[in-house]
Amino acid sequence: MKIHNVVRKNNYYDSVTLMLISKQLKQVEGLDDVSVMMGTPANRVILQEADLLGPEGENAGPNDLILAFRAPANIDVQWVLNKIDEQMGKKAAAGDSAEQLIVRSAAKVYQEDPDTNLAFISVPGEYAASEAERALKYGKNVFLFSDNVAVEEEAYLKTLAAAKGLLVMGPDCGTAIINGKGIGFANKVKTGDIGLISAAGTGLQEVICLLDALELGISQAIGTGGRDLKDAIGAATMLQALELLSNDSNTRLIVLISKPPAQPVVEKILTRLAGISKPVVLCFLGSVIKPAAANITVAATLEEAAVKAALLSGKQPALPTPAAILKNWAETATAKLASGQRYVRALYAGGTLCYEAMLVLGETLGPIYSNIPLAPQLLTQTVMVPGQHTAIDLGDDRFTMGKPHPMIDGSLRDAYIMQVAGDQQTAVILLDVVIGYGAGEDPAGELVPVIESARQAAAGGGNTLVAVAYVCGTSQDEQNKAVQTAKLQQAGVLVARTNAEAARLAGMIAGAERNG
Amino acid sequence: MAEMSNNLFNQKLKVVNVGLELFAQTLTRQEVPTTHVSWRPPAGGNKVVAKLLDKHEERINAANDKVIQMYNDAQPVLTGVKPAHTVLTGLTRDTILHAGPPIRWEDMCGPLQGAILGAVRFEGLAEDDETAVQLIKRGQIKLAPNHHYGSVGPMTGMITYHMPVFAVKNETFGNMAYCSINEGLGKVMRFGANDPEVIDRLIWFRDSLGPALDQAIGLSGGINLKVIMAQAVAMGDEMHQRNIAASSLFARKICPRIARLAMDNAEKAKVIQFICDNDQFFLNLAMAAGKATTDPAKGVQDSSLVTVMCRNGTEFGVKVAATGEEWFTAPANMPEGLYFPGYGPQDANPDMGDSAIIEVIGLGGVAMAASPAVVRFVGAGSQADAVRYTREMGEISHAKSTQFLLATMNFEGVPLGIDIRKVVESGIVPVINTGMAHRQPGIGQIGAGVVKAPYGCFEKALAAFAETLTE
Repeated sequence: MKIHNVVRKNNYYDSVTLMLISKQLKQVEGLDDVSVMMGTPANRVILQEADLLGPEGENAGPNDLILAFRAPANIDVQWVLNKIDEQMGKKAAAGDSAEQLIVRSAAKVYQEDPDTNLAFISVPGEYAASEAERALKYGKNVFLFSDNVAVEEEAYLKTLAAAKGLLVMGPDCGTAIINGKGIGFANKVKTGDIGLISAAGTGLQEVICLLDALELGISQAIGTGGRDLKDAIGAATMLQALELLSNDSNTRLIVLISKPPAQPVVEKILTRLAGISKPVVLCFLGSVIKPAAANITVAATLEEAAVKAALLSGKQPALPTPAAILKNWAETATAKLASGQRYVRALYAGGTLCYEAMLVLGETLGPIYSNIPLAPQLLTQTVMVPGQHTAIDLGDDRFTMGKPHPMIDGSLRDAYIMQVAGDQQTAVILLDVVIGYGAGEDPAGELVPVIESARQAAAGGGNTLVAVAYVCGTSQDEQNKAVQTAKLQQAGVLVARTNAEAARLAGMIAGAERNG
Repeated sequence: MAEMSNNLFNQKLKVVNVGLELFAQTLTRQEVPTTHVSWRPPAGGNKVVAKLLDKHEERINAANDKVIQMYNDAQPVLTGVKPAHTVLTGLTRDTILHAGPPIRWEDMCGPLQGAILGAVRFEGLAEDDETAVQLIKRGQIKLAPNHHYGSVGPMTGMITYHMPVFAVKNETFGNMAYCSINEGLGKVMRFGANDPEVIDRLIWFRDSLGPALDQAIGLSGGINLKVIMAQAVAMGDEMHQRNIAASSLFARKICPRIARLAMDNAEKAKVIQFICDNDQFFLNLAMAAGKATTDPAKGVQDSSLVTVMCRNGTEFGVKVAATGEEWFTAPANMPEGLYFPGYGPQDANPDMGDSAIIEVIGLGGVAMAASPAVVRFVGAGSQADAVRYTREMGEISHAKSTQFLLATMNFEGVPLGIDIRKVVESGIVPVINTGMAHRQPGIGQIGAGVVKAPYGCFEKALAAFAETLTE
């Protein structure tokens, strides 16, 4: 090894540049050590101590550049100098200047950007309330997607929000459309003059999609969260949203959607509705309500809510499919079933869609077992109860713990489909396919091979499995309802035009009088 | 029902998304302006603390505003250079002050021990290292942090009885702060070197440089350091790793006055040469200015802003306004950066020095955007990287400086007032521009770079801070 020093007179570089170059040169093959430095006395001492100073370097001055390296005696010095020169003034491998700074604090955004008007919160439930409270403190409306928020916390948040004139949608709120923009799980629908408030996520999606199919548009769709109509909360958000919609000049007709609320809450809502001049369609799924006020129209199902809203809007609804046609489909399907195939097994991604399906199925089939049952004695967590019809909400916490929701990732439901199909008693599998913002890219496309496998499994046991499905969405949705429907139909699935219709069809198939 | 009318339906939707990124994406696809917040559990997941912080948020913010006002209003003025024992209350002959939080001799790193042995010899307390170590082990030498005596020092931070120190007065609040004189490059005590050359220089400081500076400052009637610092930031210094503009500005002020002193001409020339040859001369002045600036904030109730960051080569320590003089510590990190020839990461000592007081007042790593030359210490940095560093420090700062302005960021003020709440919430820790010492004593500086403050001490500080939030 020999020490080489090359001095360039009056050749100034700042020390950082030279340290960087020195660092890069350490990777040059064949060099034992290398350093480029200005020839100040202090630097010459450093070079000396690193055993890099030769006689030429010793005589260098502060404005002279010393190229110093230790290398085998036979190395081509010019080659090394060329390598060093390559590094001088080389463009830095700069970081991406477009790189966005990661934002870590919501409060900072609220402070620095006063124009923000909505906080979408989906953090784990135990932290959700304090995040929502913070947003409210900064004067922001809240869409609280998180679940597992204590009811006391919800009550507190909604009181705080009301005092500030702000909306808290949720907790456990999945869907809203504000000013034409879908928040959370939502569909792209036409703009119009129907305003909706819903304590049920997929229930709201179903009604807006059916309205869209009926050529009707919406002004606003406000989610309240499933617990809003419980006694402890007393419809705080629904009443507040009602106030907003009744004062909203773009809203002519209001639709309220919920699973059956507690009676005092129903009274509270009815009292408030009496003071509103706009027509209201009230859909408290399955509950019997006798309103006094003339502006209120009651609907038992989501389908009926959409149809009645259409009638109130002067439209002749083209929904649902006439009974005769459905009967024809049902008879064709029933003819293929083996004698032991008697039961409907509904596997739903959407909770409210599941609930509506049970209401419809119950009318013709009797008791339906479920994890979200219509009556407490029908509770089950088993997807397949022998000798019974079942309708399971697979989006329920019990099934999604640690797994993505079946509206985002269908693989959990796929497994249950196979399980149900392998059972001799299964006649019909009833499925929903929810598309739109937040849903999977191609849920029908992913479902088709599963249904085909399910059919084969059933055929292996000598059965013919009937699949009935409903696509909740619109043709403006990115996944496109028509495309999704076609994929299912090509796979032999009976696709209904409403969720209620799908349930009716499934009920007709399973409930048909058969020999044996 | 609603006291205020909600205009949500009549406004353009603008969303802050806290949680799952999927939802921000669907909003962005609908052309809704959306800011996604990369969320972490608040207060490091400590719910009791998080609740207290939330509950008292407005009170804390108000207290922090007050501290920011103190920092912005500070007017640090260099009033003289004095022997340490004449100005540091309680400093005895056998006391050696060091950088960082308190530490036992046995736990000290090589450079710190090396510097202390040199300092003991400088004070004539022992003839050789062996005797010095015995004295220390017998407890006959008192070791204490600079910060306990109203002072600061870079790297090992040695200040002893006879060393001259810069005296800086915060004219707004009347408090004083002190710092040693920068020794220049090469073999220096602050990097742990302690041979006769090092000691001789310190003796010259004591007998010649210190008194000359003191007289010259006296002729000037005091030099406002903040004015120099603001100019220097505009000239490309960030005041921690790069002080060349500030040092030059200071030289312009002091040298004409030194020329007027009744001194031997050769000695005068030596003093002037020393000041003008040292690019880092101003660092110690900036540190004293930093200490003078932040001291009045100590004990401000409810304020979660940092008043001190420092390191002793083993541990990193912070202090927070509301918790006054209480130390919160965690192991010091290793700096990352560029090395002098012959050295590499294996030789480096963990982070060291009181100089992180510079970052506390919004300079150094916090003001990286001011100083593109410095960002290159952390790899192949670009100007955009420098700006990103500063913006990131803005994420954990309460406000902005009204005086240290960044030309490269359209004259925005540097981020000011590191808020321990934001550090813990974001997981972003302060970045500090620093020199690197060899892990063994006597060798000295081996490079320079950037180091991150350890997260752990901020978490500890936050828990203690929350306890001060009484009704």
